Amino acid sequence: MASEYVLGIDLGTTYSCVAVVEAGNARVLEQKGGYRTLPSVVAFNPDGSSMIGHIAKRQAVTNAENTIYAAKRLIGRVFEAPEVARASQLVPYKIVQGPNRDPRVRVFGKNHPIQEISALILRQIKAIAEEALHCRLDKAVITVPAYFSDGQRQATRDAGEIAGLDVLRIINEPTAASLAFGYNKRLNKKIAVYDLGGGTFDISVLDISTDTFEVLSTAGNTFLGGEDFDIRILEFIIKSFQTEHGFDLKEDKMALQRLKDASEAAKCQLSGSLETEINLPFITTIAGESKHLKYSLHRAELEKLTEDLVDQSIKICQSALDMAALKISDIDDVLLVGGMTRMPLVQQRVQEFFGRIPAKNVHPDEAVAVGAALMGASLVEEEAAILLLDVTPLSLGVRTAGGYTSIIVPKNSTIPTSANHVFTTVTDNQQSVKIQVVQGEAKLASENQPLGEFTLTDIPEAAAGVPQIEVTFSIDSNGILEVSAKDLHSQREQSIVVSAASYLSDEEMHSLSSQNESQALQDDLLTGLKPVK
Amino acid sequence: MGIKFKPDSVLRASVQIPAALNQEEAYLWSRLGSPIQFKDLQSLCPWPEEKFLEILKSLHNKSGLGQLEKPTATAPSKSISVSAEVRELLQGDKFDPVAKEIDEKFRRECLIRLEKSGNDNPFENLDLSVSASDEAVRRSYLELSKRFHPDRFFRKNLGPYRKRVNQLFTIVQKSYERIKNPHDREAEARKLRLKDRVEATTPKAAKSKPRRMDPEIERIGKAEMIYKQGLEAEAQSRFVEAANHFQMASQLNPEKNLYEKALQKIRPELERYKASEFIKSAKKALELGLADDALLASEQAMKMDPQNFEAAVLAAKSILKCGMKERIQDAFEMLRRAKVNLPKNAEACFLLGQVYQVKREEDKAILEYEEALRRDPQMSLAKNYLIKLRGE
Ligand SMILES: Nc1ncnc2c1ncn2[C@@H]1O[C@H](COP(=O)(O)OP(=O)(O)OP(=O)(O)O)[C@@H](O)[C@H]1O
Ligand SMILES: [Mg+2]
Repeated sequence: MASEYVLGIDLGTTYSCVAVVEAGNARVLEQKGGYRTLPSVVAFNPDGSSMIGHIAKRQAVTNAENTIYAAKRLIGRVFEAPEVARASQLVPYKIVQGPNRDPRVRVFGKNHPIQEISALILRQIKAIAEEALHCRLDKAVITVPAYFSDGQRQATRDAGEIAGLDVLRIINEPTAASLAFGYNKRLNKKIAVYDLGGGTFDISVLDISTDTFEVLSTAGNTFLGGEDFDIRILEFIIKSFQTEHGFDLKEDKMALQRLKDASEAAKCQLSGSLETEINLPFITTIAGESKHLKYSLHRAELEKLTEDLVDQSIKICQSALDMAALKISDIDDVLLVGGMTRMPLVQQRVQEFFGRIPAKNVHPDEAVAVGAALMGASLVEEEAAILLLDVTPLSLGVRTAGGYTSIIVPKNSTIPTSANHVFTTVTDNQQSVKIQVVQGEAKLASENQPLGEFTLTDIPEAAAGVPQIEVTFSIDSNGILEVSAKDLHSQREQSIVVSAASYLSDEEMHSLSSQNESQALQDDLLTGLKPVK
Repeated sequence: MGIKFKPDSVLRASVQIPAALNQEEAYLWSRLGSPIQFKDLQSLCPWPEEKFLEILKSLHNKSGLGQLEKPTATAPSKSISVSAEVRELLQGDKFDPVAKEIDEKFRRECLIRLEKSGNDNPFENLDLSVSASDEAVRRSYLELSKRFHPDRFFRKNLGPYRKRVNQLFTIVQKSYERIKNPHDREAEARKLRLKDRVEATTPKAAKSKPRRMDPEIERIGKAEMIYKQGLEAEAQSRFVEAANHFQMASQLNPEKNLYEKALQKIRPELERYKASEFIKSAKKALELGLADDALLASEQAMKMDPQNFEAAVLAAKSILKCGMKERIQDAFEMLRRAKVNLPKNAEACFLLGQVYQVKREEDKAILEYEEALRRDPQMSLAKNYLIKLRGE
């Protein structure tokens, strides 16, 4: 039997972190070598085995095409999404279309679902925690960006399941950070959580009254983060190199990977100093001649290159305040979460916008995992210590005649929640009705994210328009949609067939999980885990 | 006589309908259906202060006004008798081992609250009076959210109460949404007073209607929701769907004749739509050679929409196909009207030609075939008959 510990896992785009509550205190679990975060990187060997975390990141330069990073930017999206196309252009690994309209990464001739990549990271995290606590663990609360859609949440939960975790709850990253900030402090204030990580940006406005954490509004962009800052530097240097040497570094995969790492390093450097040097000897060979790359970059240059990204995030802050119907002066505290908030320009702009110095007592890399652990502990306790009133970030609707979206659950509704909608048939003796569910704010259904299609079947034969089938859309505490239907005349439950966009089929989930189990057994033998108490 | 009112005292009318009230007293009484602050009441009435006080006092003498010093928090667990439905459900729980794991007081509270939620009164759902302050609204909201948040029962097996608890949580959230800001709260309060007044003036007998067994069905709210969906469907010209929604709404809540009216309003659209559907099936039937069925369908279409001359053409064609001599005159009339009203329709003329041939009026038949060809020069059938008739 596994222990009662619940892991709080921050599954980040670039770094992941795990924490647990022990004797009432939350603490981050360290890896061998004292690392407190794990790079969210998975690399494959030709024999199909994998490396995860630091080792994977270290060998990325020499093995770029088989090293998967930033998988979180792809998870739960459909292949045709513009974000997937953008990611495809930026990463050295290959992204192909899977059987359920989902993107997959192609490595050594095998297509891996994104859920599998995330599961590999989660499994590593589980192993780290088991080693640190010397016992078997299987319960977890996993965090996702607040602005994640239903599909992205579902895929994350599936990844947890594949990794052999019992995912008690999916919670939002900024909300988790607010728990770390306000837990057990008997606060009574309104706060804004600004979370700029490696891949995503979230802003949430909360009202904390002692043990109740009520999210008033949330907004964000799931494709705005540190990676985008790195890319700006990268592109700047590629351009300079091209004018100097007439050679496009994008053609050299290894050079590109080195440059990407160097860009990130330079960005981080510039948070602490005003100038840095990007020095990459033997970056490439042009006509048999080795070329070296050497540029110096000033903080002011970086700021000029990336200012618009920061401004984008500030605009989103304003809309979150508007949705919460609050003025800037109503906010008592601002929290900065995510590694990118170490950038001085970010701090400066946030401070200017909110007119106050951000709170200093949250750890930008660890607060999210700590909050998740607190939530997990509260859930399994006899008397819950925390009441979390979170919201759904995006409106949920169905496609109606003419291709329009008819909203059923508006964004920023407190979850769990449910709403009913009555559907009927359009032709005589019609036996099934197909309903397309979408998420997003666009008027046209096709411009929103498809969540899936539901087919109501076995409708009793009747003239057109006579059957009245009431469909209940429930969004659970994880922000994940469930659908049920009832025939209003007979009061009988109506059967529903769900075919969701971009999810894994049951068989595939099963085969991935068992594959994962056999690997886990091997690992057990290797690390020689102690049996549970 | 000695009753005194402070601006913030909360008043409420006695439950009994008082006997002889004059018009002014009745007006005031109707505004006292739910608890209201003295000053709010005064602002709602058209009279000067002195007159207002006078009417209030005389009303008090006749019916006895309840005066409460503080805004009421009517906790339903303490309050009033339990309805038969709730009692029955609680009885049933005795045989459900799962339900027995949650304490009875809580179960009872869930059932009573669910039943009350059918009144669609956000104040009542949050244990508040209509004049509750911002602070009271928020306090009550947080308290009730905590009481019914599913996380509180994360590891518990609630059996049938799982769904009820979730439902109650949603009710608390939605009620709070409706009254959390003072402006909306005022509007909701006004709506309630109006509703109370209407109910006060409706005779008791009419009000008591058979209640649904299932306390989970929020009849009135559901009717309204279905009605709204109907409006949406109507806006997008999905008339059948709209009509069905309106009908459903008015079945659920017959007191609200708005639903019935909406249904009446779109009836012509609906009939027209249904007619077009019947025409489709008539055409199909003719294709399949089922002239009897086609006749039935096209006559239905004509009944729905007498202005639909396409239906008339189809009906006449079916009559001819069936060879129903006794109805040839009907067909003739229908076609004549169709020919005039559908100036481009060649088939009407052709069929008219056929009718004339049946009636052995070949000259007129020729004229009709010619007209058919003028309308549609490609119509080979008309051509053939014309050749045959002229050849003779
Ligand atoms: N000192 C620093 N200055 C600037 N940026 C930094 C610094 N340290 C880390 N970063 C950036 O922060 C980002 C990582 O932040 P974090 O670990 O919070 O993100 P994540 O959790 O992986 O991503 P997400 O939350 O978006 O899924 C990276 O882009 C990294 O380059
Ligand atoms: Mg993060």
